Amino acid sequence: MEGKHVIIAFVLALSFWGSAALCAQEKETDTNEVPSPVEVAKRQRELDEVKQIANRAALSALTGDEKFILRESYWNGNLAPGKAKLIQVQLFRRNEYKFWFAAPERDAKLALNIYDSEGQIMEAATSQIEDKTNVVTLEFEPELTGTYYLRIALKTTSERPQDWAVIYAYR
Amino acid sequence: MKIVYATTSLLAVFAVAAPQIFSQDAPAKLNLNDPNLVFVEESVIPIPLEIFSSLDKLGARDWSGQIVNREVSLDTNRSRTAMLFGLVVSEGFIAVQAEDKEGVRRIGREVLRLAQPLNVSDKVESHANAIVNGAGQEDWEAVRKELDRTRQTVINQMKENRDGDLVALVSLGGWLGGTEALSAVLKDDYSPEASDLLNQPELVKRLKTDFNELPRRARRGNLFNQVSNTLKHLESLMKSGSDGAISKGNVIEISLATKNLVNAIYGG
Repeated sequence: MEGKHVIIAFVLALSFWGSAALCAQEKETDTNEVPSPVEVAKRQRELDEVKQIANRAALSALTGDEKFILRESYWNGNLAPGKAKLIQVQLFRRNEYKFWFAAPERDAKLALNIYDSEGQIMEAATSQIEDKTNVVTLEFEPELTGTYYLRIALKTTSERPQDWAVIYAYR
Repeated sequence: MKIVYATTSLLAVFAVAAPQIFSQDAPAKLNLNDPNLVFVEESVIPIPLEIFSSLDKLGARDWSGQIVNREVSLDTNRSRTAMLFGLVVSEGFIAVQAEDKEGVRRIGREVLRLAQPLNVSDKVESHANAIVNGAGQEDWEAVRKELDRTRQTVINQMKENRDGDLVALVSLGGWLGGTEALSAVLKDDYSPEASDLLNQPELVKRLKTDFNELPRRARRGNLFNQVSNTLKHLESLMKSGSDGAISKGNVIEISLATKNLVNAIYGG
């Protein structure tokens, strides 16, 4: 009988821990605490710095006869090692797209892939910017107009969570 | 023997190229309904020029016919003003595409006027001036850049001002204006190949979700009922067949539905 109680207590403890962990994960993206305008602006500046890393990496692709046209819109956030996020993006046939995924630390280990609306991985050329592992690029020419999903990931070998930014350009 | 060699060579090439193509540890297939997947909430809406860039690869179009000089009348409804802001910026992109100097100058002035009730005029002023000056010098690339920057600056500023509810409406207005122009061009010169640019049901779904998640106070009134109904209608119209094309009938309906909604937003 006592053993049964121990098992029930263990299961209850596990489920409580599970709920707490889930709440913590949700809190990262959907917090009820409203940050002050000063906090929002400070956070925005931190994320803007990461965007600048991506922008600098993109510079060479934005000049010349075959240049890409950079969009001013972007995505950003924070990512833990071993975790991935998906970005929904509408792409148009006959255009070529280039994405830059950046993080602040030079030894950040990033991965960037693209999937179609069925969740199928697409062939795309990915590369790092020179010897840096904190900016990766992906070039893609969709065969169909539609919704695609960029998968951004921080490899498990990365040491700590990273702020990140993704920018893109078309031609 | 040659075939074996070619196959082996191809495999060797693929082995080298594979890490470049399907990079590190990414699953080959995702179940997009998996509740454990984490999606970035932020939507980035394509600007009209991005879509026109694809369309113009099929042949040059006359974009000047898509510039409609609608009068912008303001009232106290900031939700409507936010949609108007997005619409006016999208008109600016169309005017750039048509290289309409006076049209772009007018847009620059309207952008500044609309920025005031949205409490973003301080941040927008330099962009608006750059738009007007760029048009004067017919520097269309600079104007395009400034229009895109204006849109992003306004969105960032609205977030800082805790006016996040309005962001979705700026995006919605921008998308609507571009879609109205695109569908009008496709309606007048239909081809199945070009019609695939309207294959955007997931994007409409996203816009609809963002709109429906707005607090009631931000979408009260007949105009917003029309927005909701039109988005629902467009989502069904923008579903393509297996070849990616949208039928001419649907293109005509999309054109009519977007035009009616744009007129309603301008009409107040």
